[in-house]
Amino acid sequence: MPNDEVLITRFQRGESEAFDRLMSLHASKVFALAWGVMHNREDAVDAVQEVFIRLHKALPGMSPTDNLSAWLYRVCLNHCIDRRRRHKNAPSELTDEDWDRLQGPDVDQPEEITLRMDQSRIIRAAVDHLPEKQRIVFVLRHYRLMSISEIADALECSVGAVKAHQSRATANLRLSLKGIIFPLTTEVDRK
Amino acid sequence: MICSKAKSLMGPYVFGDTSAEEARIVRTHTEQCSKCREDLNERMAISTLMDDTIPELSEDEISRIKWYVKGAVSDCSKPRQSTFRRLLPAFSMMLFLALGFAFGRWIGIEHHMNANQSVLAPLPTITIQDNSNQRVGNKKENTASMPNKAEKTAASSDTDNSGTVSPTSQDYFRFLTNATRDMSSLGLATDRKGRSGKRHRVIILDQPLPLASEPGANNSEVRPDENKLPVPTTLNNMEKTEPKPSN
Repeated sequence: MPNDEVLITRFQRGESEAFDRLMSLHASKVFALAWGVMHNREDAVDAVQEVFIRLHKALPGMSPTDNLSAWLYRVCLNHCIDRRRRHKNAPSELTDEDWDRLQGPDVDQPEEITLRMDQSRIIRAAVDHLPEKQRIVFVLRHYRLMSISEIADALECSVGAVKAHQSRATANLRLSLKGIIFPLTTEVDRK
Repeated sequence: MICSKAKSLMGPYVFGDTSAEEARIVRTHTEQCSKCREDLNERMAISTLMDDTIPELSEDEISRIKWYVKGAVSDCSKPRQSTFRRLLPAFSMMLFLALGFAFGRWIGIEHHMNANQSVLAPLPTITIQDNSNQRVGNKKENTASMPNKAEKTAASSDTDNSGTVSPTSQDYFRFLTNATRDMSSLGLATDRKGRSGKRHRVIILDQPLPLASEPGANNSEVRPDENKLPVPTTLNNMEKTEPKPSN
């Protein structure tokens, strides 16, 4: 099976089928990254299309030895960030109304809320309300989409900064989910 | 070990992004600090409880993505037509319509001018003399071809001893036919059907036609279909229709 380097060279020689193969190879990974950040299937598919259109434009000037996966993830990540910034009211699986209700008077009845909503969806909704960089770092690491150094490269920051975002993200999530998933009172050692 | 140091490492620790030394620090501290232990447990629970499955693209979706990208890429690679080329068909159509309109207007104006010319042209006074120099008619006609007719008549007419041009009966016939046709178009003549079934063209005159033989005649009906029209003196022989007295 030809790798990226071979396919890029073949494309640059004029074989358009090589681009088709590149799309087949990377579409799923790019989609996973886009879905992780956008959390919306249609938006993720749109992002994949946009990324490959940009790749087609960039391929003639690209060196075959370049890390194509890193390039794709970086472009996809930037596209998703831009898109979310432009559409601040991006559709989420949990609406703002649901989120307000979760943080409202029912917070002292976590079992009831948990019964009504799937825990995973609640956490995902909380993730969607995180600050941008914390959310991206959390999602990318949770779904194992990018390594910490790749995230640092894509976000143009240091590895230490990415780790700091990880810590803040998990701390904020814990606070958000207090009374919803985690009890408000200090938990005794669960040994 | 202060808690803040351990807390700063808890995030990476949850995702396995700490070094061995950093992981040891976190474990050691959380064994001693119940608050930090609780914190770490809840952070770990978040990652555990949150679904980590990602939906996959179906074959159909991959095909659609490929189709869309290829379409977008081929659109971009097409040489862009210049504005002039893109608008050329529209310009051609507009020019064609403008020319058609102008031609139509020109035809209409020509027709209108001809009509006006036929109405407004100076009416020639034609005096026809017979051999006895008798004035037989004073007709005002609007046909522009009459002077030519007169010239032809002069050319083809007999000249008597006194030098007076006497038109032939054919000339009269042509002249009257043209004149009555134009008068008919102006509403000065009308076609009527006689008793015998023949069509008569009746010239409507406001003033009596001053015929030499019958002065004061009100109406005269001329039969243009007569092949032989007599010379002016014989206009008396032309059938005249006297208006029927109303009962």
